[in-house]
Amino acid sequence: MKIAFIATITFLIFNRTLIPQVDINNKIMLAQSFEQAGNYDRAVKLFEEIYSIQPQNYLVFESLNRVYIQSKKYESSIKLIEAKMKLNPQDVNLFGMLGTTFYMMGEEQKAYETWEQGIEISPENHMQYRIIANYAIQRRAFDKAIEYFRRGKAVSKNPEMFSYDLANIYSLTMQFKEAAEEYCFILDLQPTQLSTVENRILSYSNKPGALTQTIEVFENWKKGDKISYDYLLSRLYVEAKSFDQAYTVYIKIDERQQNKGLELYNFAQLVFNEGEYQLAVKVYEDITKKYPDSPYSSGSKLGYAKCLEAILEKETSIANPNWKPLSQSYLTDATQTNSVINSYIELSNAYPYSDIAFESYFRIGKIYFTKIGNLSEAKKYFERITKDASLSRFAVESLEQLGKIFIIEGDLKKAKDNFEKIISNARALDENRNYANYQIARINLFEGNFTEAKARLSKIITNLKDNTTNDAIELSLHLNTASSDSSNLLKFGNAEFLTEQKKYSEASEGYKKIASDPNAFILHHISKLREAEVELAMDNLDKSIGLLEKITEEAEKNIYADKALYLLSRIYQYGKKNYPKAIESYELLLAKFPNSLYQDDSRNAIIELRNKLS
Amino acid sequence: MDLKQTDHLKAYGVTFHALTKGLKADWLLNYRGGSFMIDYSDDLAVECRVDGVSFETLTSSQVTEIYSFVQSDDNNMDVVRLEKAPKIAVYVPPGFQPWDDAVTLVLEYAKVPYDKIWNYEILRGDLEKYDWLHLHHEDFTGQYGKFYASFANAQWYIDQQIQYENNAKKNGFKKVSEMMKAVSLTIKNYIAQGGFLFAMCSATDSYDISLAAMNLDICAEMYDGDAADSKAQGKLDFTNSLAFQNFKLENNPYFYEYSDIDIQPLEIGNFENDYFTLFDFSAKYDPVPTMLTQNHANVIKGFMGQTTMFRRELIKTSVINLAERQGTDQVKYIHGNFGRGTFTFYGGHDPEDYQHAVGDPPTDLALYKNSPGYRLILNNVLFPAATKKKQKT
Repeated sequence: MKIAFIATITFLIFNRTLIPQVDINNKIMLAQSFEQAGNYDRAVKLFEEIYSIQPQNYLVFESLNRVYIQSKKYESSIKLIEAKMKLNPQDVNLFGMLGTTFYMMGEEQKAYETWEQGIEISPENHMQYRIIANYAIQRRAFDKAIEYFRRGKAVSKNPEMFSYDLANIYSLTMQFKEAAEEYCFILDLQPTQLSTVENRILSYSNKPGALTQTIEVFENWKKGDKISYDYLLSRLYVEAKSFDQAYTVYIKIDERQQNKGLELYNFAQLVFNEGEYQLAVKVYEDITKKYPDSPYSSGSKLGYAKCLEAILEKETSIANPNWKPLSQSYLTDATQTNSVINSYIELSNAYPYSDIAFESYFRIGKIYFTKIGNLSEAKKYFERITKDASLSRFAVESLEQLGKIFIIEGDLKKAKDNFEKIISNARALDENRNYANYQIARINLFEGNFTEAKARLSKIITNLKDNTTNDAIELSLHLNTASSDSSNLLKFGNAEFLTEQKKYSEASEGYKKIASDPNAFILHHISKLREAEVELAMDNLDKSIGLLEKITEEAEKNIYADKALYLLSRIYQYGKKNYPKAIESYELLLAKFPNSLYQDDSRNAIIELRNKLS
Repeated sequence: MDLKQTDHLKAYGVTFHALTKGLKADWLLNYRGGSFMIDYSDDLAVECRVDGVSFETLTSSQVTEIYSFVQSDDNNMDVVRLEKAPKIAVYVPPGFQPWDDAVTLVLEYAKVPYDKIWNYEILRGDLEKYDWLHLHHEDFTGQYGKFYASFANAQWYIDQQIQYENNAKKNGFKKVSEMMKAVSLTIKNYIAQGGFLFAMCSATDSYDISLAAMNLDICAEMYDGDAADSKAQGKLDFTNSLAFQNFKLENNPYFYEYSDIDIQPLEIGNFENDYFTLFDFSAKYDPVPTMLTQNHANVIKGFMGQTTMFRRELIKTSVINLAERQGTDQVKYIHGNFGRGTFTFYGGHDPEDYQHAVGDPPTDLALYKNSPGYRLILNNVLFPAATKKKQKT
């Protein structure tokens, strides 16, 4: 009986509390759906009803306040929060919320006062500042938030936590100097935070003025003498492309870190990739001198040699401008080439039979061939690769170079053999094979084997994606149209051979003869242009201009007239540097040859020259 | 300029420069796709060649023949004299790049000079210096393009919001939305006084919405710091708007749309079939819409934008539809008058980039020299240069 009574009482109590809670939950859900649907009036009514039953429910309290604000019932929000504050006078969040309501009402002063009161509950507690600052941030009152964070930082035992907040808000509001000062402060206290700080700074360093202001702060930060500043400062210099200044800092870092040149090595590679070869040379040299036994020494030596070669390449391209269709001069300054060659020799000796060694041989060969014109020395190196490393990635390229050398030397059989080896080489790409076939076709032309030449070309001209195809089509055109005039074709082949051998004077004579023969049809046209090109290669600018002018006058009678006029314009632009004349010449091309392939290039050149003149 | 023209877009630039040099230029409406007749000069010929614009040199008798052909009552063609190169302003925030906006992209390509202006310049009255004003994908409702849901944490969005807030503060406004209303109103006054407004993408509907909601708060808390007026829909004043009426606001702040004016991608259906057709107007009786629709193609590939096309039933009856998707209620291109000026709205972001997304690379117009979609923009650029003739009645 007693048990039954207790059970009944329990059931009654349980039932009394359970039914209203279910009801309230349903009402909360209903109110939330009204809120989501934008029906704030009904949401307010329901939340008020629920809140009157469960005033202790913080979720309902927050929801009610939120819908008051959504429906702009600010007075109700104030009353609601103030009533809650009477029950919880120490709850800083309530001050934050109340201040927010005032702020939304446009009563900013009152908002600040309320937030201040929230802080005053426990002014020595840094969390108060953080909470209130976050309310200010939500209202986008950034200046106020900064003020709270600064005060919080002053009382906190972990001021760096506030510095992160401050730096973040400073960078957001584009106060980069202040942000940098906070980051310096963090690094003072915790140098291990370097990568975090660096990432944060780099996330905004591309904004106008950010990098300059940040660098200035780091340069003048005297409070500590920590390596982390130097790391960051050097990174910022690199970012600002102030490589010399970065190098000065890297030297300091290297001295302190004792990492056998690791820092300098990384910096050198970065500088090399930026195309700052002179500085890279200096850095690589520095590493090999300071740390001859370092694991970075071999990489530095290779980097050093590559830098020297890159510098050489740059200077050579100035001496042999690439605007000319043909060029003749080799670089004769041995001191420049020797240093590059020696560094590659040193490398290949240090790492014999390695990829580094074969790459070094290939580069040495190329320098001897293209920069010095010492063909026998060049051959030695290329042949060494084809003999000792026939499967290396440099073998095909070496065969190509050897083929070219043998053409120059006049040994067409050997040249052909080398190109044939490319065709049969398993590592050769289609591109390499097409080029080899084209070269063999040219050799056939030089030798007068026109049928064979045509057969070779037919293998290439179907592949329109290949770079060699255009040249192959042009050569094929000459062979086919002049097939009934084999005597002139032979003369043309001979002149082409001389051109290939860079015997320009003789080639010029050869072209001249064909050009003076009006029966030579297409060969007559191309020979006139070739004559002008070889004269240009010999730097006979005026003679070349005269020849090109004649071709241009022939207009539609010469299929190369537009090409000639284009080359003439380029001579005025780059050779004579007579820009008005160049513009005039390009304009003439636009007017006379509206369907020319050179229209777009001429337009661009005119615009460029006009800009230069203005 | 029919299909023989090698660069339709630069042809407008050449004509614009001819006007700045004081040369006489006529717009031959509907003649070979709409052509320009300009007094010959060697410089002009060189400019055409350098810009890759094809041209024909005519004798006096050929000119006379063309004029009489164009003006003949048998042909839907006419001649409009272009008097003076208009002074152009483009409304863009500082730091803007030309490729953010199809109009600046094509102005740069055609080498048509323009000034960049923003809120400060508009509010201090600089608009009176300009004949033509372009708005692109700015949000005149003050909701930052309603990109909040997708990009609230993206650096560009955060930076943009701060930039606008600072700008509002500088211009004496507490809220960005309030500043945008003032800017919208100033622009409206500019049109009323004879200005030409050309808007594309979201600047079309967001601008008109801001006018209809001039005395309302339609921005949710994340946009202007306080709640939107929950009854704003019923309080919209459509007599204030220029082009649209009876539209419904999109109140969800997380939904990337301002109202139901814009046609949604699902309504477009298969993108492959998205083409719009230009209306054919009478050149002699309706020279303005004829000028705005001059083209070498009259069915043009559609393109999307934050605002892609306009719902026909929401367009005011006083507004002229210039182009639409045939057989649908989707209107691409509209034009209307307000006061002494005019406005033209063109839906979509970039005529040669079907779905231009934030951060996409710019369109290289050298690859689209004959773009009919871009040509419509340039019709608007030269339109203010035309002399107004008395309408034939």
